[in-house]
Amino acid sequence: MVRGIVLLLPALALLLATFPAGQGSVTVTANATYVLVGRFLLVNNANSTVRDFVYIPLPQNTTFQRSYVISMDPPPLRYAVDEDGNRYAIVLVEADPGSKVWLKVEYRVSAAGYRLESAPRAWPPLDVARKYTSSSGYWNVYNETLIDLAYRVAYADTPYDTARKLAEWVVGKVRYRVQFSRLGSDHAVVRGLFDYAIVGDCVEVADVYVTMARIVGLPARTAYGLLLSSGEGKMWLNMSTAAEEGDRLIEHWGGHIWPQVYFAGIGWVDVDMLDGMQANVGVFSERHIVFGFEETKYFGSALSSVCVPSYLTLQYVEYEYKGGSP
Amino acid sequence: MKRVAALVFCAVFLAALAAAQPNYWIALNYRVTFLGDGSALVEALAHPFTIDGKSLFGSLEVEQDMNSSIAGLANYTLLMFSDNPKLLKHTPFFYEKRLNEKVSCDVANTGSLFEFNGAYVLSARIYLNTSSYVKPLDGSIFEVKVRDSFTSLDVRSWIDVIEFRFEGAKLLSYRWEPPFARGPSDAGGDYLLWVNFNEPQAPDFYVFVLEAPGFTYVGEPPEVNATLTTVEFDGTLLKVVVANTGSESGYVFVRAVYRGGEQARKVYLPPSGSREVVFPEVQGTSVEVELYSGSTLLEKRVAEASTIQPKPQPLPFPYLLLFAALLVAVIGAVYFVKRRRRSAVARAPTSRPSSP
Repeated sequence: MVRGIVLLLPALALLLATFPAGQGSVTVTANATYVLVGRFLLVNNANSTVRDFVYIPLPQNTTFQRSYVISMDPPPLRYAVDEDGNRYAIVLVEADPGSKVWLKVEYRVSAAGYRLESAPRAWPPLDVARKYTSSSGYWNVYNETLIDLAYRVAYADTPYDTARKLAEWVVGKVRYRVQFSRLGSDHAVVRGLFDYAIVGDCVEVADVYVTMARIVGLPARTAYGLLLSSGEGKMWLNMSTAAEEGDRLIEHWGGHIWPQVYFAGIGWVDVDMLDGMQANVGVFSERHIVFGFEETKYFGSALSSVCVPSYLTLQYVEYEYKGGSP
Repeated sequence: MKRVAALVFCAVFLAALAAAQPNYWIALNYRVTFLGDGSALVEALAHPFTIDGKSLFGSLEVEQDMNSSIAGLANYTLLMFSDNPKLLKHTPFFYEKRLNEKVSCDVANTGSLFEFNGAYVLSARIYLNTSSYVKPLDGSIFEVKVRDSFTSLDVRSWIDVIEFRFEGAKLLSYRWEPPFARGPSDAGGDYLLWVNFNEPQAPDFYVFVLEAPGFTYVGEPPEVNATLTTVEFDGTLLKVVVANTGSESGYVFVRAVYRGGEQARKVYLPPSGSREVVFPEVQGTSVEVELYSGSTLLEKRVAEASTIQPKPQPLPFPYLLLFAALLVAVIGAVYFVKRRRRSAVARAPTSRPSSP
């Protein structure tokens, strides 16, 4: 028996040594495939018939996500790509005065959860650093308070240590409150009696993280989409009651946004601190469905909404999903 | 065309819940005149109206609302020429109400243009040589991109009509992005006119190659004056100290270029402050360290790496190390067991009690 173990060990060693464990290694922790059905109710509040272009963000294709449009009703006029590379559909809707129109979309999405196995050390090349550390309307890297905070809590010699220190700080400062307009990092960090707090929901948390990461020279952006609570379920949002609901809204709605940071040799890595309230640098669940990224747009992306009509008014949204891990 | 209020924002798939603001639309026309010195005169013409097409020009409530959002319109205008409006050089914006202007748009997406009388006009002169959307080509020839910043912000918004004039600057070629958008509806030797009935038809970018005799590319101006005070190696770590020598605060980029790669980091420097920047895993025997602020290369140093150690090959830690430990333990155990057996066999006759 001893001889058997001795013989097995070199084979085991060979297997483990070929398993990616050096810089840049990522382990897939889970796989899931979902069928996602979305229904959007649009209302024409005008006194005239309206022909409206409606913009529908789509689940994206990424290293950890594969997406397919099964159907769209009405069918899309065109698929297009925005400045940040996000694919979306344009649908033409005609509605009489006072009428209501349903849009229905159906997607199949295969998503993988993953875990970063190493701590990347090298900084990115200049073109990446320039592009993804710039200032914008919601990510003001010239805010003196945030500059002071960022260098105090997150300045480190390597990108991974910077990302982790910042995530640890941010997650400890969150004072969660559903927010109905985007504050931007300038207004999301408030000074209390003894300490700073990040007041708002996932948008504010993501904006503060991205801004502070950019301040200390770590390329960062946001990803947006849905965070599913289980393998099967339904989420909905009624625009006319959302404001009254306040924080209770998250009991039935999973729209989400979270930061990503760029590590040379690996690429974009998710940092979703609100999924379990932990400094999840490169710890990402398969319950995330990515609908797009905000990288360079000065005022973020309007496509971070589920359905973007022009003349019509979005009144109700629901997503039903089935599937999960095989 | 831009919808005001009641939209704007559904950050994270949340509804935009309209505040008590007027809900109206704005017809947007632009006039951009490229001049021989490499600058551009820009005029934004706006006319508010209801969804039913009724003009709101002169409405006190809407006028107040528009007046309060001039800074926003100015920002949109700068964003047509740069990703970084803070570093784009321009004259102060001038805002006025003009009764004799006409502003056109397709009011209800019917495919026909409606002309409104009167406009709120915001104008400024923009120096393109500081624009991040300008690419110098050859001497006084350069490519300039003009972005529809309204579409960029909100896919539902777009510039209804945009006219480009070339006065002193010579148009050599032009194109637009994406290619499926419509081209100019009218083109002459010194002007181009785009009429965009809806957003899908409207280009996201208008791109021109121009020759302007007075054009000298500057790029984004430096934010600070800074210098490299220390460049030293510690094994494969490159340690750089950068110091702000001026009284302004701002950002610099430190870049290390070496055989087989490069690394760069942006750092903020307070007035007279300094910062240590560490680049791990620098390889090779020679490293070029560059210091930038804005587009300007402030300093460049070559450091010969007499002290650079060759990069150690990373151990496939922890698995190989674990395996080595296990192997040693198992071999040790096997050796120990075999030795004990041998010694037990050797000692057996003497240790066994003698039979009676």
